[in-house]
Amino acid sequence: MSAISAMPSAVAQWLSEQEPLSGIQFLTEYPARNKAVPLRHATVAVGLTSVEITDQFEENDDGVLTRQEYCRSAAIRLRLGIHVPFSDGGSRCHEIFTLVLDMLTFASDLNLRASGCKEVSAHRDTDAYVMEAWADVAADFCPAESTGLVLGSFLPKDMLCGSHIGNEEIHLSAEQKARLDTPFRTGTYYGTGAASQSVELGTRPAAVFVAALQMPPVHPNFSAGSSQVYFGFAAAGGGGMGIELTSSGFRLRSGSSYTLGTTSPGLNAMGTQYVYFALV
Amino acid sequence: MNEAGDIKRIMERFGRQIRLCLPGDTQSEAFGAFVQPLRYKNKMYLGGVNTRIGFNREGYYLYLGPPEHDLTDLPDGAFLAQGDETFTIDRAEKVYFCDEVSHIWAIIRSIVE
Repeated sequence: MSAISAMPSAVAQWLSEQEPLSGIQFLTEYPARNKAVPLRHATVAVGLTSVEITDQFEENDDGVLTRQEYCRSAAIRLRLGIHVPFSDGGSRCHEIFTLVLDMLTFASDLNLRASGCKEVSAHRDTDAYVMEAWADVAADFCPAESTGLVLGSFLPKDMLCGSHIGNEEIHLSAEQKARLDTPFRTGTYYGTGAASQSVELGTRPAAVFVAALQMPPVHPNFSAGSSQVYFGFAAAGGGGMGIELTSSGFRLRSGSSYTLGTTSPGLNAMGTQYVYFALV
Repeated sequence: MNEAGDIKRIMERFGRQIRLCLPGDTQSEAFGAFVQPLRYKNKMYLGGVNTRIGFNREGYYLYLGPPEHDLTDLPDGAFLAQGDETFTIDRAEKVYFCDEVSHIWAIIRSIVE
């Protein structure tokens, strides 16, 4: 059942659960069952007159109206067919109209913009006084969010385009789109001289490049007979000397454990500024 | 010869056994009456009518019954029963022979809950 087809039955079910409306029967229009003969109770048939879905526009930071890619607006006209047994009199139609619209307007989360009714008439086929009422409901559609059918702006927000939005083979998810907009991170950090320093990116990167500013990749110290490495790269399979990926960024390490011969890692040298490029 | 009595005897002999049910679970004794499908002059609605509050089968029947059970002056909620079938009374009239009521004519419908 789609969200549109579920709306009349959801409204009818909700109204039938409201204590002030006890004694009134609520159903969806043209139910697949026989009409009660004779009509003993007031009966309200809930249906849809029209549904209009339009693009939604919002102002961006520059005050320019831009079309929302995921959110659309819906204008829905609910139809309420109020049927009252002849013995109750036609004025009962107005009483029921007042009760029902009061509940929908003030007790539900529906965003009712307008409501109204037509004249009362005697209807031979239903053996009832009949009055048609209507209520205009406004709702938002935003597939990234979803709500239960609780009569808020309650239409599940992946309706209509749910099959498209939910198809990850042809449509990017919000997370994928965010990653496409910012596929990499860049930044700088200062060395602390400690044995270890972590740089947080908020996510595990796919790969990281690190280099000391204004320094060559390897700097030999001829007098000491040693070299330091000022360039590093790490990916999922591992990293170069003194650099490794973490679940939320990357980590620089130094010390004898990471020295190879006379060459040691220099990616956390005290006071040295480093630049990094991370693929996320 | 009493024409009303003759009609009643024919109803008892050839009619269906009907009970008249009043509000408060009061029931009459079974009596003979004719209950037959109403023949429509206009056959447009033989298939019933779909309405917003359900399908109206429009199962109308012609009732001819004895004058002792006067359907023209019943309280709301009265109905006829024959076995498991129940009928609501849409319209009832007295049919006279001279100044005597010979039988009751009525249009009744199957009750649908």
